[in-house]
Amino acid sequence: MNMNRLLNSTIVLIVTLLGNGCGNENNSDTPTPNLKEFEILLDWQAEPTYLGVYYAKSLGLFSDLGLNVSIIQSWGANQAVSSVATGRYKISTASGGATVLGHNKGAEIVSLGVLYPNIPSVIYGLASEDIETIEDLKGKKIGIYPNSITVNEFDAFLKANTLSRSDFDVVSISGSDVPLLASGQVDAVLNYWEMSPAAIETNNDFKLIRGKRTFTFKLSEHGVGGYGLNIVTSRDVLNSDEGDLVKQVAEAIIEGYRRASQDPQNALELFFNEFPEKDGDYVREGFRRVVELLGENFGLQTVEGWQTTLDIYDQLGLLDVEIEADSLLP
Amino acid sequence: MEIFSSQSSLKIFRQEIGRYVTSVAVAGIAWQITVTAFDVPKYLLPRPLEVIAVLFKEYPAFIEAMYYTSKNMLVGGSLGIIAGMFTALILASSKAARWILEPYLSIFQSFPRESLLPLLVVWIGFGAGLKIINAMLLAFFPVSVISLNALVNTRKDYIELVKSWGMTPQNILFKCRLMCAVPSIISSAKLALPYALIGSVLGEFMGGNDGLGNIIMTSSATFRLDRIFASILLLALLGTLGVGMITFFQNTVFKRFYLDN
Repeated sequence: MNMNRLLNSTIVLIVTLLGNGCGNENNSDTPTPNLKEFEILLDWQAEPTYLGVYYAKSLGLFSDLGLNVSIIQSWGANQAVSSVATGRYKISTASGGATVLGHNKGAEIVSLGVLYPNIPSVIYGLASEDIETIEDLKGKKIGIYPNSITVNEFDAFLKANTLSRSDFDVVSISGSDVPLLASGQVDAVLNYWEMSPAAIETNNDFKLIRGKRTFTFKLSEHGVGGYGLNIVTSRDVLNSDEGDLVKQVAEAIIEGYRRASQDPQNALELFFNEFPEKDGDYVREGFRRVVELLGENFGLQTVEGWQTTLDIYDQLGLLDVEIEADSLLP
Repeated sequence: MEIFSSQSSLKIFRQEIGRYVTSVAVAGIAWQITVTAFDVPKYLLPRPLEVIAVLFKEYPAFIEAMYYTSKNMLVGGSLGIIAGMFTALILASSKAARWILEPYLSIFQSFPRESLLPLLVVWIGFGAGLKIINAMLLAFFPVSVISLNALVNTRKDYIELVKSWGMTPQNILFKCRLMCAVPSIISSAKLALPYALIGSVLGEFMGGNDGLGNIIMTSSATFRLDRIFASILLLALLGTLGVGMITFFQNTVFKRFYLDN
């Protein structure tokens, strides 16, 4: 091959790679000329938690609004909230805590609907004969993700149960928690109920004790109130020409969750078409838990509910300014 | 080629400190004016004065974290530099060893060693060992690769000259090849120490409760950008001090040894 051909081939390869882009987005649809391009940001990766968003897209709820939606995955609610506040994305999912803390730092974030009326955080570990109550965890090594909003929920849990970090051996972790539990580097981890705990529960490599592969303590059942997953936008977007459209997108997402919980079989099938590499048992169990977390009245939100969320962060001394609960509502 | 500076080390040190302080101060003032003038929100960028304030307010925590990170950087970095030089010497002294072991250098150099971190955590846990090993891994490769390259590529006329003096292969290695390779080895050490700092901080990102990396991780959960920037500032200071330390070593201890030999 002569040098020119080699050079040309290299340039074509680079251009092709650049053209394909490096973004972690799920945009397999061919752009339709009549539809407007629109991005929805997830505050984490494409897990069962967000199945409703994908289902809404599969059902054509966004294209009914004249939108060709790309679902963008990210790595955390705080970054998602900041991205929405800067206007880079018009709508995102985020935890209630990130919504409140973002607001506290001047990000005028507004919730368009609450998906999880309670926080999904749990302290969990591999099932053990020794651990039945929270008291049994005293002195054990608990792994926490230090950059996650769950850390604040953990502190609220300690406060509500008159415990302190010194009652446990709390250690910061990163990456997947399952190998850390399996190797005994930690005895328990703070994580979301529908994620790693669901993955372990459906993995036959872990032994069953009292019919379970994990022990789980839900923080919401141990004194930590406040909202969990919600859909956020910024006040600027809401007051702009696109405000109504963004509200309609949020309603479509909520409708996606509603229909997915009514027909999980179909929702899961379409999700697997999109993500064939995902473990089927985990996704099924994860989404079963998501439906439980959604409850009956998901999509609704109240001033009282946000006030409870604000109170948690206020009691932890994390609020620099006074935030009115109704400023978080549209 | 000037390997060592002819100016006194103390004078250079004073000049460099002045240059760096001025440079950082100018950037800090420009940053403060910009964020104030454009009213940049706090969730995007903190004010430099807030960063300085948090450094003063929480200085015991920052000093403790800085000590932990710098200790791991120095221990891991030193081990990596020594191991890298030792490996390069072995490979340079034996063609058989080089034939067998050199591919490993290329293989390990070609992928990010950080990808081993999740495995290291599972194997050795979250303690200082994780940070030291990671710092050592990151420091080892630049030193071994650059030093080996310098040791085996000594000018041929030098080698011919010392051979004509009747030097043994061992003497050629230590008295000719190694001496000619000193500038490259020092340069590789200047590269290695900041790598060791990166390794140490990445280890802190992976787990444990100590160090500036841990402050960065814990602060991002609460949008405390002032603490994140304060930690970054201290990390930059650590990295600069590390390189400065080697330069100082180069211009004092090593200069005397090199000229004497």
